[in-house]
Amino acid sequence: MGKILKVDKVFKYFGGVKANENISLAVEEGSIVGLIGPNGSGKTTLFNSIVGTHPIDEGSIQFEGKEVSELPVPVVAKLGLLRTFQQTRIYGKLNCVQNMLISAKPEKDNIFSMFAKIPEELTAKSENLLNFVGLYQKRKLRAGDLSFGQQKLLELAMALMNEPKMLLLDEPTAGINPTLINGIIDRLVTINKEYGITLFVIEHNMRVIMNLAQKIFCLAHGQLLAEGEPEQIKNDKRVIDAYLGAQ
Amino acid sequence: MTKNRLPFYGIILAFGLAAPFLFPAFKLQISIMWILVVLALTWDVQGGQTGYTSFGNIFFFGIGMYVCAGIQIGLFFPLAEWTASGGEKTFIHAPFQYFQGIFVGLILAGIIPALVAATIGYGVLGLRGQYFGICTLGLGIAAGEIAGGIELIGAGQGMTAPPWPKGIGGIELRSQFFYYLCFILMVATFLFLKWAYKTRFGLVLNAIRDNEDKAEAMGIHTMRYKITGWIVSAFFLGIAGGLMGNMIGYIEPVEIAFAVTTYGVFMILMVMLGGKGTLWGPIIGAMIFHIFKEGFWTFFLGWQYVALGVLIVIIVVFFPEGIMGGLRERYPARFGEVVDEADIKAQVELK
Amino acid sequence: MIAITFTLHPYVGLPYTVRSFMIVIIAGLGNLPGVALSGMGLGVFEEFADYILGTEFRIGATFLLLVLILVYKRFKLSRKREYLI
Repeated sequence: MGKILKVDKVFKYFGGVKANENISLAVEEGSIVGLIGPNGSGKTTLFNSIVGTHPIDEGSIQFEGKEVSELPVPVVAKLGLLRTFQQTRIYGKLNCVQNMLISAKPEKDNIFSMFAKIPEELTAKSENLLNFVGLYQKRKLRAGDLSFGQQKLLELAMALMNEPKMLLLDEPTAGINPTLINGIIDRLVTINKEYGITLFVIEHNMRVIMNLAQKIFCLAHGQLLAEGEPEQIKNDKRVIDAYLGAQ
Repeated sequence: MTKNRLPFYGIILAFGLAAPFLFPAFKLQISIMWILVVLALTWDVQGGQTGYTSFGNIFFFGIGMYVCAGIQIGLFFPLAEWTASGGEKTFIHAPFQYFQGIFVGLILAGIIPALVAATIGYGVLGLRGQYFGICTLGLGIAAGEIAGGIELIGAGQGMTAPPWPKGIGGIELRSQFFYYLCFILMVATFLFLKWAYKTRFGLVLNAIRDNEDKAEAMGIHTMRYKITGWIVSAFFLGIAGGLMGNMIGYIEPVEIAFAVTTYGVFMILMVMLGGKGTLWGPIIGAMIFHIFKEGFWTFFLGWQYVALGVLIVIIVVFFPEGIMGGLRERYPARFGEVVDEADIKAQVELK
Repeated sequence: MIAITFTLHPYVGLPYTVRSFMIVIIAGLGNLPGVALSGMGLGVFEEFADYILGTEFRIGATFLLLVLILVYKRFKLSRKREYLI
């Protein structure tokens, strides 16, 4: 299995702030990789750079061997690289099923598919996925009326509807009722094993990410601090210092 | 919802077809009402469905007006001489020429604004929120002022549209002819949008309205959909402009063609009154607005603008969701939104 | 001050509102020296437009400049994948 995502010496500045400094990492296809670090270390910025929300100042980002740092966001998404947002983004005035329907990939993308009727099978598929994340009973509600945690689940379902090859998840368990977190972990593992989707997950919940990920990268102050397997990272002094502050 | 709507459509259709004979004195008024419905429906495509408040959709209306009249005249007579001085007295259209002119004129009045929308769409629709509003406002006003400087189309004096040819009926037939054209345009716009909103197109526009960044992040080429929406609006607006120009008979750049301060703003108010983002909202809003406006002009002459201003304030303050929006909040069941209390209170369970 | 020099009518404020908006857009919100410069620049532009294109195109040219500036800003910002907020 090759590297599905290669981030090579990426720099991103916001004015004088070095949000990402010389970040180089690679994600193995079909794996679950974690990205941890204290607040403000540049994790979400890195996700934004990978997906194309903003251009990078230096470096290269390759997805499946293709250079994506110059591509606009919809093109990157159509290549199969999706992301979810830390502050949930869903279509507030539409109901959950409609949110799902619009997230599905159309077969062709031309003027005819623009005015094509939405196929019936998609409704069944969206209801199945909503059931998968536990939102089946709420499928007719307006997405804007859901709670924050429920919106996070909806976002996850919407991403799955689009059948991505790789999914960048930005704090998927933040705001979720702790009793549901085990369910989420199970589902993320299922997504990875059964659907073959590579996961790159930003997480603050150490229990979740240590159980979930096969490899973890740690960022601090915009730089890559450490990388390795969960056991290594858990015991790495630099990581502990970064989170707790050097004694 | 659609099954018991059929008799409702039948009533409107019957009213529409019979109106010139039921209310012969109000033919022109009802024609203008249908034009206003088209204005409202097309504005809603940008304003209500896509969330892009356009202050300059009247731009296409004006282009259509000038294109139609220009073709009607230009096909047979030199345009510059027509507009120079009282051209309608020197150059008389034969009946065949007149109808050929209108036919070709209206078609081009739809196509040319659509092409304009396709050309400037990529630039203008890249702006968001208030900047889009200001840019379109600038477009509308600039077009009016610039048209007021071009001698070929009459400059500040404006130009007259070709008069109805002598020898075929009189005013009666003319009003009826244009009435039915307006009604057909309104029905065509309504049916097209009714169909379009049910397809992926409608859903994507709503997604853009709710969260454009999310739509892009999910792989939707939002610019394509926005431009297509503008092309659709421009097409119907252009034809509406062509018809209006002929009905009024006199085309003045800033007050009648590129009427930003009157019809340009009325478009927005009508849709707000009726309910943004719904299919029937703009129609109801346009009809009610027109009836109120005509009522004010008849009964409050002298104070009609004050009354109109008060109406505008009332609309903005008390009907932010519009009539259809308010109805949807009160009776969601009738709109197909069944909301079960149990669903709202249910806890999410992940087994 | 305008009321002293010209005749008053309800829409007398519109061109001035648009001009001030244009000046702020060119300079960028909050950029006071930039606003002063752009204001003078716009004044010069209007006089030249009046002279070169003729008085009847003066206001039209101003509003057209507004459209062009906004579209120019849109393309320049889209290089950085940002949006005018």
